[in-house]
Amino acid sequence: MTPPGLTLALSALLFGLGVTGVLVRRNVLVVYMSIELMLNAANLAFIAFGRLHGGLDGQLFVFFSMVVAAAEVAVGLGIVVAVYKQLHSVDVDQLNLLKF
Amino acid sequence: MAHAWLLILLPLFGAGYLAWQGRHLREEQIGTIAAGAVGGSFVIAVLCWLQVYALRGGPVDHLIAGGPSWLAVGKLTVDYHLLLDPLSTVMTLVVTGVGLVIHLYARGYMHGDPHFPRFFALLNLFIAAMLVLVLGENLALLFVGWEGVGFCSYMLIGYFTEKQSASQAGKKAFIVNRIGDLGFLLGSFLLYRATGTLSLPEIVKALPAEYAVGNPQLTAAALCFFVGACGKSAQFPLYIWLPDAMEGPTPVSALIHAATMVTAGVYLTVRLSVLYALSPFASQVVAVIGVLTALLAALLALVQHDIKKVLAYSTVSQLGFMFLAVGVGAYAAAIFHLVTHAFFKGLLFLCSGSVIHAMEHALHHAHESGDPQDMRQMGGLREKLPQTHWTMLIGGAAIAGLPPLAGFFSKDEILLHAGQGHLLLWAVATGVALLTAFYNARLLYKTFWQPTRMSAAAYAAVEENGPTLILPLQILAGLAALGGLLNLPGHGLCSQQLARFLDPVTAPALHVLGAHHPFTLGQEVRGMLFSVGVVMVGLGLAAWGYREANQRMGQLAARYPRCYRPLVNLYGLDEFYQRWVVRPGHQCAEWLAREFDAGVIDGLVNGVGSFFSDSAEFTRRYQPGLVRSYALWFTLGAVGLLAALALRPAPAVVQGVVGGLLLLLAGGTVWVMRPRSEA
Amino acid sequence: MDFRPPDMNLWAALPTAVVGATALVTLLLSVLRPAGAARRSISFTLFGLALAAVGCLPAAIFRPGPSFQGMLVLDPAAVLLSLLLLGATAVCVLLASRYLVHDGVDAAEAAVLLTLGCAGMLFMVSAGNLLMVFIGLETMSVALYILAGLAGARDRTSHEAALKYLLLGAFATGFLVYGMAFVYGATGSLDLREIGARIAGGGAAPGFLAVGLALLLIGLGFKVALVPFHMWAPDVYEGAPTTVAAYMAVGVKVAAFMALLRVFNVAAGGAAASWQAAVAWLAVLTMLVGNLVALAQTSLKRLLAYSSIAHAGYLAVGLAAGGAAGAQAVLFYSVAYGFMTLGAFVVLLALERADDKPQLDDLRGLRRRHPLLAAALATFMFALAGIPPLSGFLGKWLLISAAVQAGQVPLAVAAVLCSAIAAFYYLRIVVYSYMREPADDASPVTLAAETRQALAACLIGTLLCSFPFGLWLLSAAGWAAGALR
Repeated sequence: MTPPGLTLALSALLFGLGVTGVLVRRNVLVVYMSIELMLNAANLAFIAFGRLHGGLDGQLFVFFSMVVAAAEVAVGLGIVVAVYKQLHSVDVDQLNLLKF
Repeated sequence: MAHAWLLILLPLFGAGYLAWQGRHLREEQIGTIAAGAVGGSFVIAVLCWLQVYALRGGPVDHLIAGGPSWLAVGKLTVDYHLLLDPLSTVMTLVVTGVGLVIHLYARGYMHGDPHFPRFFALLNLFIAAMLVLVLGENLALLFVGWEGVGFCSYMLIGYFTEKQSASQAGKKAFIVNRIGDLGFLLGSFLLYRATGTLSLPEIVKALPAEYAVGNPQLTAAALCFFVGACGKSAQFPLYIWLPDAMEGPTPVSALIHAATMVTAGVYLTVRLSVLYALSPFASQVVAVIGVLTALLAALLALVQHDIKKVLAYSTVSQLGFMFLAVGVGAYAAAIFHLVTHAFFKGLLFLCSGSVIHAMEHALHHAHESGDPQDMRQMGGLREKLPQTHWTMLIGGAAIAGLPPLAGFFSKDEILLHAGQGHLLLWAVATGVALLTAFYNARLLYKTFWQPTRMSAAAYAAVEENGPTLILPLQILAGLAALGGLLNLPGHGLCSQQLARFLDPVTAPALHVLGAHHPFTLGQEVRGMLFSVGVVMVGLGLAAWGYREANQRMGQLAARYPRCYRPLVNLYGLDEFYQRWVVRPGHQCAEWLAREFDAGVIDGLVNGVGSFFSDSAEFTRRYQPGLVRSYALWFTLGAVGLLAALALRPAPAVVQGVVGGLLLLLAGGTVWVMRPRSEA
Repeated sequence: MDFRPPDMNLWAALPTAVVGATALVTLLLSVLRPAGAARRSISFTLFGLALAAVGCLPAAIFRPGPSFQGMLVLDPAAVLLSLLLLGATAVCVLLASRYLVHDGVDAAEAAVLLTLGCAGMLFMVSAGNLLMVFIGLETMSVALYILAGLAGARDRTSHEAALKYLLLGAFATGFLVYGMAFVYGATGSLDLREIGARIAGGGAAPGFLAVGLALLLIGLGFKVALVPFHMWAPDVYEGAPTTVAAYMAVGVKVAAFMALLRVFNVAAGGAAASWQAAVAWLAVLTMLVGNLVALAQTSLKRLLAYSSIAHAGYLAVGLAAGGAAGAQAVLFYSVAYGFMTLGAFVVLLALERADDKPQLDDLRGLRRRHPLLAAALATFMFALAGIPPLSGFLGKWLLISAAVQAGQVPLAVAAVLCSAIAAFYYLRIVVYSYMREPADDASPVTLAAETRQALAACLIGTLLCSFPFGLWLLSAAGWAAGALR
């Protein structure tokens, strides 16, 4: 069995990767995937802590988190599609009408 | 003793009622209300005096009219208490008595004035304030009265608001008095520090018990109070406002600027006589300034042509005499002279008012324009104004010091005491006595005895004034003639009545000053003979110079311009103030307005404004509309926050290193994300 | 392992349940019977929101304990803010029925989304568990992502706003969930009371807790727009339909601040030493940047966005002050802020024309064009600037005195100085509407019935929060703050 410490380290790595992805990638879909990576890192942390404390709360939270993330993705992709219809692009750097 | 409050409340209500309803009342009603209020006060003042008189020889020497507490801050408590002791009752009698006479006179004098109610409201208010001043049990209450009379004086000097010079004179009086008020306040603070109380009886009790003679703190306090007295009582170098104050109506000059308010400084120094007794240096300053003022003002009075200005400088001079008395420790003599001066100077002013009134009338009648106050355009009025002439003659003789009139005794008393002190003081004071006789005789010659210099038509139109004006003159003439009885010299049953009555007030100071040898009969007789001789010389000189309109004085003036010019120029004191105080003040204010206000203050304000709008403009450029840059700032903040919270328990070195790295990171981000010009 | 039946205290869930049910029924009805759906859904939604407000009353009277194993806590503070949020949602629904429909949006759709968002907000203000905070926040946010982009068909910036909000919001959610994981890891519980007890009992791992609290502060700080997590707010407010911007400015901020209050001030109050200074710094930074950049704005929506950022800073002052006094100040200021900001946005809506977003210059001569609207605008601006005796003044006074009481005098001084900066741009709006001549082509302003009603509601609310009526709210807030556990 993997020790919780290792799981936590993995989750931190995933989270860092996610943040980096958001910062460096320009494709909206990739950015979105990076965010999902961050959420999953959090889920992993929950699992690790859940095992540490031996309760069900952590795993319970993960279920909710997954559901919410799914809902968010559904809405998010809708918005991305709407934007794509107008811009014909999925480059986030094209979104700069609103500034200053 | 609560009825003592009525002393103040009656004229206060009079003032309030006249201010409120005066417009709807007839002149007689207004005069009756105003004079009635003061008359009521006078009756109560007599009552209070009797009560205090009854204390003579008893264990208690003063009464307190209690009132509510005014303020209590820490250890400081100030109550609305009135102090009734010999000094305050004497002052009260003078203020209400002379005040009543002048109110009666003013009814006639101000007849037909468009602002009749305002005048009497202010006059009543003045009486109330003056009574607060003399009755206040503590320095705080005294200061209220002190400022109150100053305010009334300011309002009444500038009473003829349509005259530019009148409002200027009012402002001048007010501003010069501010200097004195500052001295008063500083003195109060010093005394409070020294004794921990503002109550006058307690201060008088505490000072000799706790402090030795010559204590520098007390000297400072005494000098501060003397600055206050110099302002209010017009002493050198602050006397310049009083001659200008003659712009006010003549009853005001008589009441405020001769009989009562200007003596407040003398009252204050006598009230604090212990303080001056404990400080020989301050006493010397008082004496020197007093005699110097007496001399300078008497010299100025020699060359004035305006009848009221002569009297104004005469007032300054006589006040100098009173301060001389205080300075040499003759406190009772100072008050004695204060009282007799109130009589005869009030009288002289009212007489001059009568003359001016008659002159105005005559000039108006003859359709001539001219200054009704200029003595050069008078002369020969003796036949036309017989009543005024006689009463003014009594006043002039009294102030000159002819026996047995009031001024003779009071001035002689001061000269005697001065002779005990310093020969120089005595010599100068004697010289002033000579000058006093001279300029008063000059006034009478030029006004009444010389052949008239008026046009025939105007001269024919001069008429003696009616009884409303003349009756007060006669009352005051009687007082001026008999006032000396209050304090006859010698050691008989009737001698030194006033001094003995005032003894509870002056005793602590006299005790500090040490043994006082009463004058021997020989000393007194010699002094009297000498001063009569001096007065006769002065009168003789005046007769030589002014009899029959000869030109001897004019020739003298022409021959010695170096003596004459400074007097006409008033020693250049006004110019001196103008040049060294007023103009620098103006320039400083102008510079502040132009350079400092416009440059520094406005610049600062505008600078702050543009600083913020510039930095706002700068900061907003860091929001370029790009999601990833937002995420970058977000992440930077997140890392910082994480470090801040997670590294709290870490050692300082780690915190420093991480903090430094983060700051570097932030700085780098600021640089990388710097706004670029949009190409 | 003993089995306890769940304590299903339904009273506590009543308002949220009513709001949720209203949203679902409206949605179903508008799909099943499209004819006349618009008017019907608006009326039905308003009715449902009113019903939910009535549903708060039993909670206010009987004060039920935590329900659903402590998931929901309808304590007085929750009731107070629930009523405010229900009112704000009703006003927004009213406005949506006029203005969003104008933008080509289906009225029923807008009403359903607003109501669903409201349900999320109600969850947040009465959350007793981190899970509820998360679910409430997400319910609210997902609804708002859609709402922000509703006007996209007409206005490209609406879509841009929605996508920016979505990306950054999801990014922040990542931090939030990760923080919750760490708090859970540190204390072994998601229940806020339990967390508080563990922290107070010293049973929490300090390192994990610190990381968790920092991440939570980041996640929730994003929602209330604390600097430097604020950058989405101006763009999204500007791009989103004004009704939605108003809804975000009021609803999101109030709900998220209540969550912050519950997590930090109440649950993590025992560990205040670890987060207080950080929150104070965030507060100062937020007040400074918000007010400063607002100075440079000419677009009224952006200006109000920065103003709302600055107000988040003021609220954070109360959070940093901590204690009952801080909580009271935050509660009072939330209510006061809600009314005055909503009112300001309503005035903006009334000024909005079809083609572009309202600018400062559009206010010229408003006094002549519509005196009543100008007066209302002036009232809201004076209140926002914190001029006595209006609500903003009472609120700021409470916040600053709470900071002083807590010994955080520099924080109080910073708040006062930043308010001084703020007075400039608020009063400039008044100056424009009262002292500048109207432009030659300025159109007369007419108010629709809905706008008038909304304006009246906000004005009455602002005045009720002002002296002297505000003292009543003040004591109510004090009581609610005292009942927070």
